[in-house]
Amino acid sequence: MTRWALRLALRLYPRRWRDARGDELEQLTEDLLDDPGERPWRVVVSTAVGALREQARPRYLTGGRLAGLGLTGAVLAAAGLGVAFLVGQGPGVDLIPASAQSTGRLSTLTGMEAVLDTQRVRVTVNGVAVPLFEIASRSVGFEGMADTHLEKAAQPVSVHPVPPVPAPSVPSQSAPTPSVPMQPVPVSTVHTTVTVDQGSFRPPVFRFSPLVAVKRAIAYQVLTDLTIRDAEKEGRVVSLATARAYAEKEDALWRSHPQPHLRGSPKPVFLTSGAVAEYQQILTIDQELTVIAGSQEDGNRTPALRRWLTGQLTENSVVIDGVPGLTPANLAASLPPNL
Amino acid sequence: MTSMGLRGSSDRSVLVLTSLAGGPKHGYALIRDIEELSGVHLGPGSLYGCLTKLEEAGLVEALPSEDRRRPYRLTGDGLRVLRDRLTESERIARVGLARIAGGTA
Repeated sequence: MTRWALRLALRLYPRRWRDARGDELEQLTEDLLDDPGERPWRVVVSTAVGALREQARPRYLTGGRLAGLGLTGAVLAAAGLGVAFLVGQGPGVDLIPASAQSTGRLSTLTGMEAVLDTQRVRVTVNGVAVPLFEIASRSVGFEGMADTHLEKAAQPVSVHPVPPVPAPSVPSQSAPTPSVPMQPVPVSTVHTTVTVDQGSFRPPVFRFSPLVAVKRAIAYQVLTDLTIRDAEKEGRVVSLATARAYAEKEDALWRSHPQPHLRGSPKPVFLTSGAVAEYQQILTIDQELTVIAGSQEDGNRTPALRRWLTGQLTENSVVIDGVPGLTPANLAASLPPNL
Repeated sequence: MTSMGLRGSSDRSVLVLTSLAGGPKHGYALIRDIEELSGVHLGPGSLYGCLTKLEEAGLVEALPSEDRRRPYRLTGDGLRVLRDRLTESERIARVGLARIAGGTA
């Protein structure tokens, strides 16, 4: 499963980059996975974040801009989920009630429930929203996609309830009891519910690390999805709750990270200077994407697609910082002097 | 990338250049060497992000390889930039330590 995730992460790099360095990076990741002292998900996350950075670099923004846009949306969506882990009451993720499955709107992280639809999430950072395309669409190469595919991806995701099945044989017996009846969830309609409590969120000193949030959320989200995909490949159907239990087990590795600022502790942590730098980079990417979405000179997109993008930027958003006036500068300035 | 450019970049670039100053290395060897010399664990994505930028700046270059583990080495420019950067760091460290000790440097 780890290698599957790695292959996916490697495919997220721009095609030109993959052509030049993909083989050697893949070899490196294989060497690292063979190293018993290496944490597999650290390799996966580093590779995925590296792909994000490459996608956002100006030299790749001509052919693969929207792929990068979607990828960034995915990462930022994951960040939103991760923030929920850190400021909420534990992971706070559960099987979505059937009554809420048609909910396409994302609430803001201000103490209420947010419904994250992995097919349609939009994330706002400092008031700038980016849409999330299907990750699967990038795995087949964005360049070959027509606008019609994008328009199709923008349509609401249909949910196809399937009858309950016996407990699947996923390697984790420590599944928490779901708060709603367990229900099998097809791969194409995986939803996640996040309950957010901002009681410990006290600006201007931020007590969470966006970097940690991104890394943990990616690992958690990918693990959950992969468990379901593996089950489907084997002809089984697995409930989201069971897949989550397995993901939580893997995610526990993050919580025992030897470096406190990288540890996925549910308790708040201070930002380190390194995390601030990472956050600044995320903001920079985000601002860059704003320019892309508003660009009038991009010959690779049709006006219809531009209109669609613009529309998506203004709705179905979730605010992951939640603090007006947040900038990299005042974020850094708010850090305790001993950091 | 000039020394000024390197100064503005992350310390990862310096670590990669420092590691390569000891001889050509492929990705896995770089990660382990950097971990040993600095205690910093670079992930594969971070490492290749650095290598890509450094190679584009002409500070490192890839060597031919018979397998997929392609080694990298410092270029002449890379060596010069690294020397400048480390010299500058040394000077700052010297001044800082002197000030901590109550000196006037």
